[in-house]
Amino acid sequence: MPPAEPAARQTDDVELIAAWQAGDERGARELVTRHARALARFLSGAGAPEADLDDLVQETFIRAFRAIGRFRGQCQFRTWLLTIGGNALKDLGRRLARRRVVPIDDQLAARDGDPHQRAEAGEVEERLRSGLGRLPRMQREVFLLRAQQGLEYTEIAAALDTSAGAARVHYHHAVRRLKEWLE
Amino acid sequence: MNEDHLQDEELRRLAGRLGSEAAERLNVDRLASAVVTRLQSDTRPGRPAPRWWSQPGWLRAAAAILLLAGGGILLRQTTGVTHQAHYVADDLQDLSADQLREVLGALDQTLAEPAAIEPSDDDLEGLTTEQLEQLLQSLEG
Repeated sequence: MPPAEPAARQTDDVELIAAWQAGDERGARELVTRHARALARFLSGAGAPEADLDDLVQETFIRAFRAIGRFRGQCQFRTWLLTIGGNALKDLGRRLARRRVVPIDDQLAARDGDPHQRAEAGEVEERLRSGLGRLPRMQREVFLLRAQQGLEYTEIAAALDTSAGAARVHYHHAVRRLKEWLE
Repeated sequence: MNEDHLQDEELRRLAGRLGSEAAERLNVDRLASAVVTRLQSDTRPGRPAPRWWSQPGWLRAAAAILLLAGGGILLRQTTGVTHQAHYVADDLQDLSADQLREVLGALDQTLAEPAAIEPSDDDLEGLTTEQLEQLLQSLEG
């Protein structure tokens, strides 16, 4: 499991947020540079179409900066950002569903790009991605925050406004169902 | 290590790799510039204004204070009422009968001296040369 962010990084993020609020645009630029790839990995794992990934990452940062007054340090900035990304992805799914009249999960699970690249990604990885698309949103996000981002249950619980115990249960349900699909 | 544990590790490893290639293809510098550009053209409701005094609420409060202060000064000038009279009256109430007599005597003496009263320009015109010399001497002490 990748290690969670160290405490020093969190302090730096808070300072960057304060700098941006004081009018220094470099604070916003540094926060984007620092967290964009982790956010893209999370969104991709949660089913974001690759063609929309860039726009989705950008939209997530814009939403986060607009709502920055509501960030109280209850969790790390990155964790908070990922949950906002989850909401942005959900909204994208709704828009796609209205436009193309197809199931949301099918839209979000759709893959664009070179078929050879998709083949290289590996059959197991594709099955995992497909399995994640079938999970309830809460289970999917808890699994990704834990298994992909390496966060503790307390951190996940704070970000998703639930308890650590409930987050643990969501994670184990997700693991059990993913194993069934992968086997 | 049992089989379940190995499967959990494998699952985490796979999850950790998920989306890595797509994330690597992201042009982060261009993305950061795009976000900053959008933020600059944004009204930014979540971002506090750096100049607190430019807020309408503060401007209204400042205007109200100015109106109150100006109105108070105007009232004092037009009515001639000052709080100084009250302070003097309070002081006199603390004096004994002998002390009051001394104060009144000193006041009579002061009023009797012509130099104690500031002459106006009209009064000066009516004075003789001798009176003017006396006045100047008294002013010089």
